[in-house]
Formats: sequence, structure tokens, C-alpha cells
Amino acid sequence: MTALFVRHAFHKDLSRLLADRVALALYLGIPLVIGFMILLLVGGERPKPVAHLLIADEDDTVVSELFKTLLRSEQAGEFIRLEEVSRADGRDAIDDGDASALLVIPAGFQDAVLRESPAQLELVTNPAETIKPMILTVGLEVMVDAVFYVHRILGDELRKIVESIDRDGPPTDEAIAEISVGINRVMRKIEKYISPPALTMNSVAEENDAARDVPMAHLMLPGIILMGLLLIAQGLGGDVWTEKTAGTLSRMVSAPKSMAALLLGKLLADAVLVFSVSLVLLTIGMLFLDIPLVRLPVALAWTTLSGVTFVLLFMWIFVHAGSRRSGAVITNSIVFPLMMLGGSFFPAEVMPQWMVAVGRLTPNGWSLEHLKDILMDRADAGGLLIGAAALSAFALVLFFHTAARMRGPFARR
Amino acid sequence: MIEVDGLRKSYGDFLAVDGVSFTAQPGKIFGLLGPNGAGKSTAIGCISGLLKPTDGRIRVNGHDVVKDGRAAKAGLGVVPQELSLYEEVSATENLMFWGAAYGMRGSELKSRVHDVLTYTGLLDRAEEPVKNYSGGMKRRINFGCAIMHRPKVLLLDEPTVGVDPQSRVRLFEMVKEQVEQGTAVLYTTHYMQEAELLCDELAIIDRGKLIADGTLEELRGMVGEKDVLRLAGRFDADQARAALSALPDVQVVVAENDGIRLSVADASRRLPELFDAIGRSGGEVRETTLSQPSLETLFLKLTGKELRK
Repeated sequence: MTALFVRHAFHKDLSRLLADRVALALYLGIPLVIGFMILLLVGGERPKPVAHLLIADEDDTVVSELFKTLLRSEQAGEFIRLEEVSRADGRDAIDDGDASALLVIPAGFQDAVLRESPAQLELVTNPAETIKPMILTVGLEVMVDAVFYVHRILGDELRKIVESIDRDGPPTDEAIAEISVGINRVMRKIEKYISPPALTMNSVAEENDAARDVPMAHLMLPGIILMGLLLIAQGLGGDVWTEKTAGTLSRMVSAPKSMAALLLGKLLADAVLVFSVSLVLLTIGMLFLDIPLVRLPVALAWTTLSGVTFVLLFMWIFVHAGSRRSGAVITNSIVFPLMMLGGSFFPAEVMPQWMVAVGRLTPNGWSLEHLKDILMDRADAGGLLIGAAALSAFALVLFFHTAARMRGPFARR
Repeated sequence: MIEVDGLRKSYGDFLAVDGVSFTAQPGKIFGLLGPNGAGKSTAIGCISGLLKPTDGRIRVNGHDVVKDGRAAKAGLGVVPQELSLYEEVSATENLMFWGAAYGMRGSELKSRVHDVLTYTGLLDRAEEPVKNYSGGMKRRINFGCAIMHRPKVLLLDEPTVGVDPQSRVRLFEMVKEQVEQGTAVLYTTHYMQEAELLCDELAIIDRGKLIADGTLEELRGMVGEKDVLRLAGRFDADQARAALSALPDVQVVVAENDGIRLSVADASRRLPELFDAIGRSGGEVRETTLSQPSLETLFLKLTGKELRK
């Protein structure tokens, strides 16, 4: 007989939930919007920044061509896209914001490089951009420094080339052979310093073991879902005050069926909503991130159990609050810290260790870790069952305490 | 049947109900009268199980509401002072839910929902959310929820507060129809006219104590044939009291500097005599109100104050 009443209570509360279309849209829409925004901020495989460099080569010599060839090299090509233009077209393009910078190689550049006399490269950057012009500036400074070191090493040979040209015109085969032999001698002398390099730099980006090889979006998905569940639970938890002020709780106290049966029916209706929202969020997230949908049923079961426990937690707070408003203030003041600590705004993998330790003690943080394990296929059945049992035990304590409170003084309006 | 014996309910040092005893019989309406704050709703709360009595015994249909609460509640219907409905859902869903809360099920439940919708005149709007109903319609479905399980005892806690006259008349009809079917009704109100119109037996409660009870005739007999005369004006309270008390068959209920209340037999014929006595005591009468014997005059006589205060 009580089971039948629970069914009626469930049907009644489900009808009430479905009647509030705006709340339903918000329950589903808010986590989707917030999740999308967070993913835009931190997620996805964003391309490396490539600077668009315009070059006006007014020297048009072997050295200037060599300079451009270096900029077109495979290594530089990862960061720089080169386009040759005239100085006037280049200025127009910069003024229109169509490129990152304009590099002007002035006439006489080759002569200056070979004679180690002053020369000025002109770099005009796009003020609307910050990172890309900086990449170009630093890259060009490195190349200018390289010219200085080439002179320190091969200065004699370069000067011989220039003097030979000045004296005899274009170098003869014999002169080229002599210069080549000289260069070869210098290279042999310094070979032991440059090959293998005396100094090597090994770049190591510190990262958490758990975060290695896991895209940021994957780490964010469980947090976004738990955030949605917390917001839903907060809204649903306040329904006890709606019933109190409507007088239905006090009327229920006068009926022979128990308040626990009413609460159970209410929670079952809430579970349907939590399940539905979880289904939508998880399905979208898993499809978007290429997570195998075979993990969906377990993830759904976990989020539904977690969501209902959160509802009970907020209900418990509301039935102890002196007014609906104070209940809302209390739950508002804890829901956002819970989301922050529990890893909904930032995944634990990028949070300070102390915050991770505290976050794992929160119900949502604890639940999130298990959901993450489920989605990443690293959860074991035993651990999950123990986790579910612990969550259920916590929920049962909240359930009976809340039901007792609801049939006591709280029922009176 | 409701049997209340020595009911006491206290909140700390404040005694809200102090030793109240009465019995509401099947097929009759028992009225519990008293001003706001007299303890009527507290008594109803104890009977319905919402409040735990501090002392005393309450039996509903032979079941103790404290020791055998579930059985006692099974035969009890409650119409609260304010609406107690799920306004987002339909009348049908409200009735289904409250019927189930009293253990109804299956075809019996569906059939009863149909009957109650017909009875309350809401069948044609049964599937609309209750929030779309007028105030009177909400009152009717509120009453319908209480009678879904055909209770043998019906508690109505000031059910006509804020209700329009048309809905009030319909509510009275529905209450009387329940009584005709043998239901014991406990009806609390602070409207004397309602009590006189509806109730077979009455108890008057003030400051938590039952100050009079009996049938309407018995209570009227306590007032006797005396009228209540209210005089407004400017008086010397002590001198006016002395002058009026000296007259035969005149009882001074209240004497204040701006008003006097008297219990006087055949007051209309004795007005010149009364005015003369007041004039001699230095008083001046500006307004006179004469009331025939009624529950209100009884209450006035018993407590020295008007019921609606």
C-alpha cells in the first residue's frame, strides 16, 4: 500500500516538475552554456600561433635571399608564414591589420653583412596583435645575433671574398677553392665544439601523471556535469519550502501515510530529472570528445545516484533553515565554493595540491573523481561498488533525518 | 466521533490550550468558537496530529491520536484554514494524491475522484492546473481533498476566512451534506453567525480555556432574555457604573470613560431610564447600539469583550 502511495507521490512531483518548463530549460541549459564557455576558454586542440610576416626585399642579393630562405625553413615555418611584397603594399597591409609585421631588407644589406658594417633592418609590427609580432621580433634578433657570430668565426674568409670581388671582380675558380679550403679548416677546428653540441637544452613541461596524454576537455567534462547536478540539486532542494508554505506538508502530517513515503516519491521524481539531464550532458560530452558510449550506462547510474544525494543534501539544509530565503543564502554560499573546490571550474589536475586534497573531501569532488575514472575507463568494479555503497549510506542518513524534520515542526506553516 | 479530554498544550511557559474537554458526535456539527489566538487552531493541530499534546487525551473514532496515530488519522479529514493544494497540477492529480495518502487505490480511487469532482462542481475543469482556478474553486477542491476518503470525522479550521459569500454558502451546503451522511464535524470559527447557522453543539474557548459549552439553546439560555446595550460617549466610568448598577435588572459588563456595555432585559423600553441615570452621573451619550440575545452576547457576557477582537 505504501508503495502505491510512493507511486502517486512520484507522479505528483514529476507532474509538478514538468509543469515548470522554464526551470526545466534552465536545469538543462545552464550547465550546457557554462560547459561550452569553459571549453572555449581552456579546452580543445588550439593551433599554434603562426605569424604572417611580409618581406619587402629591396636588396635582392644572395645574402638577402639566404636570409629569406632561413625564414622559410621547416623550423621557422611552424611559427612564420612568409609573403614577399613591396614596401608600399606591406605598409598598406599592416595599416589594414592583414599581417603581423612587415620586414624591410634595405638595399646594401648584403654588402653590410659581408663587410660587417652597420645596416638596419626595418620591422613594422601590427599594433592590433601582441604575441605574433613578439615571435617575429625575437626570431629576427636571433638571426641578427647569428650574423655577428658568423663574423667571429668566419670573418677572415668573408673579408677575403669581399676583397677579391673589390679587386678582381667575380671570384675565379681558384679563389673559390682557396676560400672553401679556408672555411673547411675553420669548421674542422670548431667541429669538436659544435658537433655534438657542448650544451644541450632539454625542455620539460611539468605535468601531473593523470593529466598526461589527456586533453583538457576530457578533464573538464565530469566537472561540468557535476556542476549541472549541483545547480539542479540546489533548485530541487528548495521544493520542501514550497510544500511547507503551500500547507501540503502540514496536511500530509494529518494523513496516515508516512512523510518518508512522500519524500521517497519526491526523490524518485527528482531522480528522473537528474537522469534526463545527465543523459543529455553525458551523451553530448562523450560524442564531442570521442569517449566510447559503452561507458554511458555506468556513468549515468553514478551521476543519478550522486545527483539524488546532492538533492538530499540541499533539502537537509533547507529543512534546517529558518526561512526559504536563509536556506537560499546558505546553499548559495556553499554551492560555488563546492564547485570551485570540487573541480567543476578547474580540473584537479591543474589545481594546487592542497586544494585537490580539500576538494576530494567534498561530496561533489569525491563523486567527480569516480565519474572521471568511469569516463576514462580506469574505474574498477569493486571500487565503484564501494563508492556507491558509501554514497548510498550518506544519502540514507540524510533521507531519514530530512523526513523526520519534515514531519516535525518544519511541517507547520 | 472526537473525544477530547483535558487537552493541554504549552509552548514553554505559554499555555495555548488549558484543560479543554469536549465531544463531537457523529452526524452533528460541533462548533469551537473563540477570538483569534484563543487556542482553536492549536486544539485542531493536536487532534489532527500536527501538534503533540502536552497533556490530556484525544480519541478519534475510538483511536488515541498519540498512541494509535495511524488508525486515528485514517478516519480523519482536515480542511485547513488556508489552502493546502499543489497548485501546479490539476484538481484530478490533487485528489488522486490525497486519496492515495489515505490509502485509497485502483478503481475505487478513480471512481471517488470523479464523484468528488462532480460534487464540488469542478468536473469540467478537472484537468486544468489549480493555479488557474478562482478563489472559490480552490476552496472547493481544498474541501474535496479532505473528503476523498469518506472520513467519519471532519475538521474544519476557520474555513471561511477570506471567502466570498457565494463560496461560503456552497461550503456550508457541502458541510451539511457530510453531516447528513453521518460524519462528525468539528468546525472552528470566530464568526458567531456561522456558528449559529451551522452548529448543533458549541464550545466557547478564550485564552486556551473552555468557558462555556452546550447546544445552541442551552447557550442562549445562559444569556437569558437580556439585550446587550452599547453606549458610546463621554463618561465618568466609576460614577456611571454606580448609577447604572443601582437600577433593577441592569448588569454593567464594561464601564469605561468612552463606552459602556450593559446587559439589560427589554432594553429598548428602558432607554429613558438609563440615559437619565447616566446624565445624573455626569455622562453624555452620543451613540447607542442595541443587540438581541445571541452567542455574541453570551461571549460578551462571559468575557467582557467582543468576539472579533
